[in-house]
Amino acid sequence: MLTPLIWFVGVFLQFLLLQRGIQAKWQRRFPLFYSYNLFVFLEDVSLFTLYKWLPLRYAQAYWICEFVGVVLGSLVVFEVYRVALRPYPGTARMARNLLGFVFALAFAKVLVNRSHGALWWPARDAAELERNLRTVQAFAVLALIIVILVYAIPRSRHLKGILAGYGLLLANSIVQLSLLSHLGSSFQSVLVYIQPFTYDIVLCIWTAALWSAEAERNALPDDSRDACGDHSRLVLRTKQALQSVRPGLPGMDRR
Amino acid sequence: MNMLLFFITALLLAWALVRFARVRNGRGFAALADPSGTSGRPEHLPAFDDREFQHLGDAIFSERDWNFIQKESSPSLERLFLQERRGVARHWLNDSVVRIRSIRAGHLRNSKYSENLEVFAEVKLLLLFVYLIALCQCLLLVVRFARPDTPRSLALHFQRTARRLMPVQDESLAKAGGEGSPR
Repeated sequence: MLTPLIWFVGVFLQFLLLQRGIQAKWQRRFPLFYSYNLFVFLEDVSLFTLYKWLPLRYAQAYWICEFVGVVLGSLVVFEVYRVALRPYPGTARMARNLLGFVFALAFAKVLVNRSHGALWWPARDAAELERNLRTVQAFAVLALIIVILVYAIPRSRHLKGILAGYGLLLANSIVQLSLLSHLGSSFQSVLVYIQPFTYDIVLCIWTAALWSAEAERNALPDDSRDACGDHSRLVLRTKQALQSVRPGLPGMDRR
Repeated sequence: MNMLLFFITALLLAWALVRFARVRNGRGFAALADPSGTSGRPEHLPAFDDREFQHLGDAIFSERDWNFIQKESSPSLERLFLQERRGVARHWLNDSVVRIRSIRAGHLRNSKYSENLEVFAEVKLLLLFVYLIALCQCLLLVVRFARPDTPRSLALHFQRTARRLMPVQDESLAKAGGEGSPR
């Protein structure tokens, strides 16, 4: 009784989110995010139908859908990066490098495992593979959050909601899939409740964040823009300013 | 062990999300560390002006005053001196942190618009900010538990780090000036 209820709430929230997005034309601003949600909505409905009519095919179909979901989820991260940092070329460049570093590390790990004769990715089953992919995504989201916070990038409620919801989804997935890999089938019976329930919470965050309209933010025309021409000059100016902050000590000549 | 790493990753992400949600729009990490913007400086104490700041920096970590007080051979005077000097040192160090944070905020405000941001130089500078602030916090800790002239070597290190920036700066400024001048 509880499983269909959780499932129904999820589908309802997803429908609400999509309907509101289409009504307000937000799918033009966040096409990848709404594509991801449309996919999950269709996935939920079709998997439930499959579970009812062809339960033997369910597990296979579930994991295929999960991997497509992981790929689409990566595009959501990319979309947040694109929308949030578009007006800030400097920060966008920093984020690109940081994300590149995260993906290079993941790639290096794959290569190292391969050279040791292990599998291309050290996963024993589909759950472990998904967990590993979600972990790479988690690091990408982490890098993005750090860049946004360090550079104090203004963010709309929509962006904040999308990133917070997706981040929560990733953190939950990593914990749940790790427990599934570790505890095996004994955790499976709990997971069938926890996983859709936590996804419902994520959907609540997204629906609340994307319910009301918010003006699209552009780069603030503050007085700092005069200095944005040359980065090396900016670095020099900052170093010069840092020179004034130092404990002066006897015997140390000043320049 | 492997599972623990995944749990740590999830926790790290959750922590970042909480911070992300708590920071007011358009403000960064600094706002979380110091919501008042005073960096722990007591509100009744004003900030130093630039001349005072340099002058006090020279005096606070010096051994001269302490040597002079010791010659008086008065334990109560020594106690009073230490109490007063610790207060001034703390105030001065807090002011240093405020200045460093303010320079960092100014730099980040500018560099986010920079079209030709040099990632390596930027990362080096950001690490330098972290290092200098951490060093000031260490000095604060030392001042709290030891004599104010004890962190002299740390302060010297701080001085040298700041000084190391100078030759690079001179060189680059000269280069920049040379490029701009008519030949």
